[in-house]
Amino acid sequence: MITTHPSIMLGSYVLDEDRLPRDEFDIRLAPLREAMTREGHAATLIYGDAKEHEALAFFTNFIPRMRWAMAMIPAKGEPRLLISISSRDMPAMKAMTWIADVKSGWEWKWFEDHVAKLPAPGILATINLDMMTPLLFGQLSKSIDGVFTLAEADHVASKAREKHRPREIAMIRAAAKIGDAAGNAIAERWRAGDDVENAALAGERLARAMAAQDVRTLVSRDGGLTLEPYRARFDDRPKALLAYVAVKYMGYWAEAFVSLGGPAQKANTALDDMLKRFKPGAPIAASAHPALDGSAGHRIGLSLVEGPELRAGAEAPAAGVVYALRAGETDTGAGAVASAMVLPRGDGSFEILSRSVCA
Amino acid sequence: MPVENARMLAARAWLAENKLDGFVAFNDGQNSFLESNAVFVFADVRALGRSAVIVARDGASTLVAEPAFDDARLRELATTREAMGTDDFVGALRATLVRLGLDKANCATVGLSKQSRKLARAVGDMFSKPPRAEDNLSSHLARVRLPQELAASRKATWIAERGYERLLRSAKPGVREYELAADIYTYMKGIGAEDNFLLMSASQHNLAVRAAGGRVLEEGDIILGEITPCYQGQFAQICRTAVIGEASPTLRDKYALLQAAMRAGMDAARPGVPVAQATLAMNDVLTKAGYGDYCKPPHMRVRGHGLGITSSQPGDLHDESQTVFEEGMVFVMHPNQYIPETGYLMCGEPVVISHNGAISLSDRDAELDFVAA
Repeated sequence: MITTHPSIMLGSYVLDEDRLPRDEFDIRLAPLREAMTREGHAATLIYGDAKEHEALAFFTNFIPRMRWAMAMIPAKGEPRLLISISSRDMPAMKAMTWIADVKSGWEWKWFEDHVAKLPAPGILATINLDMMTPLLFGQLSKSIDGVFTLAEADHVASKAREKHRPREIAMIRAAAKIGDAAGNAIAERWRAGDDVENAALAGERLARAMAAQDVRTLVSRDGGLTLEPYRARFDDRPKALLAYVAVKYMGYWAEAFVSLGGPAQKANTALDDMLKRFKPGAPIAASAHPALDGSAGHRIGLSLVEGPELRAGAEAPAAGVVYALRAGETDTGAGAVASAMVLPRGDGSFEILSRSVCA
Repeated sequence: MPVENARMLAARAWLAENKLDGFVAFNDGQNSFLESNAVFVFADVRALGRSAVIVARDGASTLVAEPAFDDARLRELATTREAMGTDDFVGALRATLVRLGLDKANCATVGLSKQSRKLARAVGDMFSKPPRAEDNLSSHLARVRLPQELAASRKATWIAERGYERLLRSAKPGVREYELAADIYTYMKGIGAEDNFLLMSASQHNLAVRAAGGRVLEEGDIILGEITPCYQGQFAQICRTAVIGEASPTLRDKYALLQAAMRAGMDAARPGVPVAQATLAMNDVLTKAGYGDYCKPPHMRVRGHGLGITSSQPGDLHDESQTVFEEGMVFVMHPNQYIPETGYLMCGEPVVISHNGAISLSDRDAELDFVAA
């Protein structure tokens, strides 16, 4: 779901080298390095910003809290990470990545200095440079004009991330536990009589206290038919609860819908049916709930929505990829959504990482 | 039909002056506490995804925003004459321009250079004549707060101060930074903060403030808080310093230095005076105390800055800025500084420019505070 993007991501993003050691990033970078050798590229530029950074985070672990960052991975030699932030804040930023050479992107000389060390003339592969602003791209183009050309390599990143890696799945599993806890807290406060905004806030509070780096919530003020972001309205207690919570932990997202009352049982049954059919090669059925816009879910991980939504006729789910699934129902002026996070296996079975409160 | 806001009226006058038929203002869904959100300025609503306000000089105004499921809220809150939620942002924007006849007219764009290249290319292709880039229009038109905006800034400041009081009550040895941040962030959200640029960290010797991490608070820690809630589109920021346990005489002396710098800056910030003059007034206090070499990054960043999301004016407070203060401008002034004897210290208030200098919006200006060990 699209939710309100905060002005800054609050939580701790310090790289945990026990969970994500350097060798993990060597493995992740291998396809990039192979592509550079194969194509004769001098380096790969990987761009990301606070809103969308899945490729950048995959290869560097760095997630911009605000503004942008760009990794420069040379075919030979040490990489550099440019971050759009003041030099005052650099020590804290360095703790978020395995890359040792981290510089402020506000001083463009650090880009030019790095490029000057590359064999020229040549080609620079690019990942996600379409997300860059025209202003920044203009500055970059001016710096390499006549020396390097650019070659889009988004497909190389996509291929490297085709399936979730085992360490990624471990992180998503940990995020799913926090998402579950947040969902349960929302349900508990609703049952205790809280309004929908305060109930969602209780879930957010718990998730953040469990070291979630980011928490997004949506609530329904009309008993489950529509979803809205936070509005500081603390008196809405419709006849049924529908809330959405997404949590990010160590860079990885998990999400859950919470439904109490309304057609919750029907939504649960619809989710059961969906899960029975959810296997590689099987067709996707669309969700009936208006707030879900026909989507039965999506891949989830370093982005809340990785890749396209699963709509009727969508590509079949792939084994080794974590999906967030949902089934929604409406009935006599109320709505409910049941959700689960699942990991299909190659043998047609799947692991349920979490299943939301829907009763 | 919704009543358009005062900024829209000013924008129409600007269109007439500049002989333009219309403009399109953009936001990419990210909210920066430092920058103008052009869509909010003209439509009074923060969209979840990408959004645009299309304004025709002859009277039409339409908000187009992602996603479709947000349609009802957008229609309820937007002060443009039309509003729609869509999952096909580019298609809906193009269709609106064609319907209003603006695709073939003389138009401007606001904030397009801050969008992705992909979107900028798509927008460029929608017009038969290249639109004129007027990226600073919203920030310029909103540079002086309207009475209701100033009231919202005061409320945001009130929330920040309550958040800090909560921090002083909740901080104690053994608590992790992120647990404390979770508590005060959600507390402020519970009293109305729709967003919050919250940096809060602690150390025995801070190099700067940063986002909360996993560090466990200890006796003798200096807790730094840059608390920046947003209320009805107005961010307000307070910068605070608290010690767990007793403060040394040196720490007290150095904090008093920051307070003196703050007072000097506030006195200097008068209508018609360039930003550089107020900045130098703050730096001068620190320089006279022997810290002139530290009045630059990485030992500090700037001496204050504008507060989004209506206007970024007067911009960063640094010693080369020739931007001139105007009565009614609201921004944060903060002589936050790394001091070798104590580490980084924070002292700052949201202020409004009056004919007599800057006036703090805080009920209680920054003091060195204490938390029981």
